[in-house]
Amino acid sequence: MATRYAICERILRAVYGEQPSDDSNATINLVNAWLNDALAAAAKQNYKENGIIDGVQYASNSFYTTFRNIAITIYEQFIFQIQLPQIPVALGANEGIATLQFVDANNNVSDPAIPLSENQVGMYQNIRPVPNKTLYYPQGEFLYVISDLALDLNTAKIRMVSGGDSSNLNSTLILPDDYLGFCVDYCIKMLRQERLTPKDVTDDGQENV
Amino acid sequence: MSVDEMYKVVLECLAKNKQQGYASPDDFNTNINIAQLGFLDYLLGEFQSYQGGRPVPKVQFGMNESVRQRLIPFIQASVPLTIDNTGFAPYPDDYQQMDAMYQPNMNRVRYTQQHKLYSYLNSQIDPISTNPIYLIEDNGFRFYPNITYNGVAFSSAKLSYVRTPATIVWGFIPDPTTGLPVYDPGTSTDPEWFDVDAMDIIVRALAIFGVNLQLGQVEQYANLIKNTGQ
Repeated sequence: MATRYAICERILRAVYGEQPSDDSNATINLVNAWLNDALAAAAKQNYKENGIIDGVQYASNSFYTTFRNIAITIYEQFIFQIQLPQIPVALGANEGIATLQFVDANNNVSDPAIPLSENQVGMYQNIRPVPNKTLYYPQGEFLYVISDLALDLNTAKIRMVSGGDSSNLNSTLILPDDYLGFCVDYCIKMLRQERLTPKDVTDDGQENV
Repeated sequence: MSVDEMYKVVLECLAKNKQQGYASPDDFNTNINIAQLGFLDYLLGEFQSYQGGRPVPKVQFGMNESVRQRLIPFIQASVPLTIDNTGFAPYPDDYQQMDAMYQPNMNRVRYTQQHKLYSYLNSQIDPISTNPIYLIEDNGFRFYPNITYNGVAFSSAKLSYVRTPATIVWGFIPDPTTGLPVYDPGTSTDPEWFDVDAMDIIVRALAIFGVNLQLGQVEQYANLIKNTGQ
């Protein structure tokens, strides 16, 4: 296991072929930004490869992270909104999000809510509500929870495919070692592309590339 | 190598390679300082040796340890800079060229040119509030962030730079009998360069005098002077 910073440093050293100098254009933050893309690509690769190996497509457990203490806000009547730490990766209909649970002030944790795919949302709104079940559907960076309970008094606990806290370079990168090379290659490719792209080295009011 | 030794080598070379070759102390002082600045320019990286589309000279500061070693007497490391509210910090008086710029926590401060400034100031990946930058201006450095620009204080930085070498002076007093100049260590300033580099500077000074010698030949003259005490 390595921190995001350590992985970014490895990638920078590979791109520059040495310890980067203070003139280097690529920064740790830039590599970290590419790393998020690489993680999503790795999760998708893993999803496809599992389909080849097991005959069923899924993302391996190593790609999942649990986020806690996420605020829940009222969106509409009986619909609550939860902002995710990142937009879920597009694996299947809902597999970017594994579970959604609710935690009350006494740290009691609910049963997982039931996910709906987008077309099920419309269908659900035309049938009788399922008693004692909480349903949700993801949309972009939000989860929408359908419930007649006062969920905004609780916090959300979410398991989802994620590389961890991308805003904290000292956090552990959630990525199995067998896909680390994939991510490193992805980032190096992108950063090398930036380095190899011809630069406009003049300041003459003309775009000379 | 002392300035007196340098002067003797120059005189020896002029005497043996140029008809009625002689350099007055004033001429020596002028040419040796032009030569040392020329050599400094060479080590820092001469624009003249740039190739088309590849702005990298044959020899340049930071290229390797050997070049840096030659400039070590002039590298001022971790000099604190005080930055005002507009982000400005004047160059040190003896400033010649940048080596590195650090934040107080030893993270780098990135350099940018004016025509790329907008791009750095608006970056969301590397916001300047946490990833400071600097530009070079007429009389000093301009740092971002600063109080005037965005209200974020960046009040100090550490600068490593190449300073100007001290002016070499062969000081003298007139001989009371002959009136000829006699070396006076009290009013002289020795070169700050390592001996091998002092020889390079002598070669350059001799070229200004009109004598084009290879470094090896000058070294032979220098050894001759050292051995014979001339």
